[in-house]
Amino acid sequence: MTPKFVGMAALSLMLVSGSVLADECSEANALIQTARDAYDAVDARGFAWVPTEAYLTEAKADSAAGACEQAMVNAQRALDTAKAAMVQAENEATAWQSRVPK
Amino acid sequence: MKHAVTLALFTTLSLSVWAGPEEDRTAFVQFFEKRFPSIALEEHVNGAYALDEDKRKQWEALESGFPPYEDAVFDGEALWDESFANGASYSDCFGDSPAVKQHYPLWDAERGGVVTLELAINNCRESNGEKLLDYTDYAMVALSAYVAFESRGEPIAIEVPDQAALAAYEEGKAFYYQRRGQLNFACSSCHLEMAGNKLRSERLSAALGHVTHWPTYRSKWDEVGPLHKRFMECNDQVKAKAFELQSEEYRNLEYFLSYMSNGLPLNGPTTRK
Repeated sequence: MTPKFVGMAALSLMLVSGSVLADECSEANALIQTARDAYDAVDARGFAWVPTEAYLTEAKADSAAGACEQAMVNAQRALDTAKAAMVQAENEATAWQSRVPK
Repeated sequence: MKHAVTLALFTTLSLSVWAGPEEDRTAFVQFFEKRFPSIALEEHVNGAYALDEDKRKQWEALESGFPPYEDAVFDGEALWDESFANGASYSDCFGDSPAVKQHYPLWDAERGGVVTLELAINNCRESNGEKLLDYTDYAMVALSAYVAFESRGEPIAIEVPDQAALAAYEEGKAFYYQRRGQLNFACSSCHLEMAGNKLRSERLSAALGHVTHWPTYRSKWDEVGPLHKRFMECNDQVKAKAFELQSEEYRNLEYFLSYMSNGLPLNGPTTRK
């Protein structure tokens, strides 16, 4: 086993593991972006929820630390809460009227 | 016939939802009269202390000694009397008497928005070349505490003078009744539907009279603070993203809430838990 062979093998291993890591986190990053867009949309309607932003912050930190699986979990939580907030915003466009004392 | 009934129903519902401010206020007041028949309307300016005898005694003891907002009132008076660099003063913007809080928030047709007392103070500063104050700055809180103190006893007199003002009022009204946040609460959930009930150890105050006593010293804050800070806190408590102090949303909300308390006497600043 020549030093050249060992060097090539180590480099290959690094490239393979690096690309796997990048692929995993790129999936998480895409989900983070989707959740961010959903959050921005509901925020523009004035109905954003506090936990969504917290989940987004955590997801980004996880992704930056290479904890791609955890990043996916938090990004999904962010997306779920942003979607629920949008349902609330749409419902409350008219539902509030039933609460006004007559 | 079927169409006529549908139309009549739709019209009735529409009218009840889109009633004018005075019809809204009448229904709002009647709601609390019915809910608390033994409590005089004016008592609601004391918030939860109108509904809870034990808490009221503690509060009265605090108010009768050296209430913790006194320094803010004294400091506010000194700031009010100071002249700006150009020689003008707050009196040039607000008139000779600082007892003006009963008219705020008001609709400013020229600016096309609701102007709260705090915003009016900053507008006055800006028009006289002074630096704007942050809305949590002690100087701003002290100035508004002094104006509130001088305005004690004045009945709230909010006007909705035109269609643009009415639109702002309606925005504030919708905000008040809309559920927000992960806990899915509206302002009205606690302070209208549940008013008088207990939330853990706290008695939920009635929305009527909610605006009469600001700025207020809150034990929780350990300082005197503005109404919009309380709005932010309420939003945060239900896990809704809060708006900025003096945002359009909160100014419109204050406009609506103040109109609901029209006629009630001002009693700020005061203390709350």
